[in-house]
Amino acid sequence: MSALDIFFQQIINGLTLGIIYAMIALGYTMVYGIAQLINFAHGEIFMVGAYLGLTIYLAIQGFAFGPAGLVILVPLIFIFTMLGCSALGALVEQTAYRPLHNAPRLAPLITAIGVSFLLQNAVMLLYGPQDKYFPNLIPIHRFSFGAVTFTNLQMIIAAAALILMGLLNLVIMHTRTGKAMRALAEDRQAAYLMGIPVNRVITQTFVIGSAMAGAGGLMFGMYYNTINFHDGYLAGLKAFTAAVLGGIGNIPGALIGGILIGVLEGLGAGYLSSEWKNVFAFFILILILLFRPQGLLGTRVVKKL
Amino acid sequence: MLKVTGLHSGYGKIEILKGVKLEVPAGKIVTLIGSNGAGKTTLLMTLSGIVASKKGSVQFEGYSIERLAPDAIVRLGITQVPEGRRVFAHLTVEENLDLGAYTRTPGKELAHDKEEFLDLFPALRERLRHLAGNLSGGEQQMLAMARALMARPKLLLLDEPSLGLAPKMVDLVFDLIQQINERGITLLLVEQNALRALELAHYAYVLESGRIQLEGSGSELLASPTVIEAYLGG
Repeated sequence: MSALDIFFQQIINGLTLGIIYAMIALGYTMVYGIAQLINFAHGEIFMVGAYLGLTIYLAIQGFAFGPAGLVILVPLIFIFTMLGCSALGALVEQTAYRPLHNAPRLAPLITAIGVSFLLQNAVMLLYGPQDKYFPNLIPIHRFSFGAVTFTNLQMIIAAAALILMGLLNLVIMHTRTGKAMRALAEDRQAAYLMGIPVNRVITQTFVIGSAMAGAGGLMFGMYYNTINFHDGYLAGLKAFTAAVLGGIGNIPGALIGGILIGVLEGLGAGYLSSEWKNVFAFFILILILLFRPQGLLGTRVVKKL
Repeated sequence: MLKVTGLHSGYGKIEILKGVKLEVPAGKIVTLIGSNGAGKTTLLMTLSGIVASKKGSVQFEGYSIERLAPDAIVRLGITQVPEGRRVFAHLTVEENLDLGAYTRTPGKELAHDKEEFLDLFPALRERLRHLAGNLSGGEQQMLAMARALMARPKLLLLDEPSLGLAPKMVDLVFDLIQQINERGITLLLVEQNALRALELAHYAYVLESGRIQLEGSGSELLASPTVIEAYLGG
């Protein structure tokens, strides 16, 4: 493989990973922008998405017959995984964050860590501590251009992400709820004065962010074929880095940040060593916090963290 | 319509309102004047449910509203145009108006109201697709008022609507306040421009250090030596 081949190959792998990070980062950034809260349990919702996807697949795989069945099966798994994660996100918001509405800012951060441990351990108890095999939901085809290959799965992940992000954009820009979310992100008190039920809109934000993270978890399982109850921790931290990189609170920023982190990680793994790949994300986090704390697209310096 | 008795409220341990008593009769313009820090904004924010009341009662059309959430108060028919306009700068003018009507069901009546308010504030019609943050201060005040009216309030609370505006705009704002009242909407107006606000008022209150110090019809207060000395520049 020539250096150029490695470069393109790692870009493709990095893009896939970056899309998954972006799916998680969207929820981080939305919840921060709208509820002014860092939901550190968000990575765990992503992890639960992977396990939930697997469970749903195992439950309904018998009903799929041939390639035509897959066209229905895979979207169904996505939909149910997203619904399940939405419900979990709403539950976390109502039980762990809502009662701390007027508490000092550190309190919800600590409950978030508690929720993280709770979810990790719950999944460990249910599914066991060892890696779980995540079967291929679809037959994998490889496409090769010289030494560079990519798979139909990578294309499906990209397409699914594109569809979901398009829907998210539609909701945020054109629905009543989306307008209320943007108003809330800008001025919570003024939103209240317009009669916007602020608590309900915050719950809706968790619901949408969790659905995106759940879909991301499912993509992660499909892509790597093994999942572990620890997976949410690292992926969550990297997605958080992606959200900060793009400018926390900024939705297009989360997308760009996620893809950048994924690509840099891919390139780092390709050229240096895959053992170092985790270092890059956090090295970037330190660099942003030092030199551009508002992130790439952020205009304001983050006031409170 | 609105009856406030013995109202105490503030932030944390700091008490700003120390037993406010006032009434706003239906269909009238009631003005509240007072120096900086007297508690005027705190009073409006308490009426809107943003600041929690500690003691006392707020009756609106017979309902006790002092424990209600801000969105429930809007649903009952009290909307506020806050000090400093507080339009959603990154949203378009039209989106701001739509958010003003958040508590209402979309439909013919709503569309009709929107047209009506755009006639009342023609400057907004040309800028429906502009970001609210790009409007001038006067236009933002128009938008803030139109946005609040979109909720179809029975009682409109206006906090310093003329603050920081060019003299011509100030005239327009007071003219609009009159017009809004003529449409049957009751107004509680907080103003630093005491002269204009008292001229307009059917009834007025002077708030100092969290208590009502003086009350009377607009013309009575305009003639009061205390008011002349403290608020009308001697």
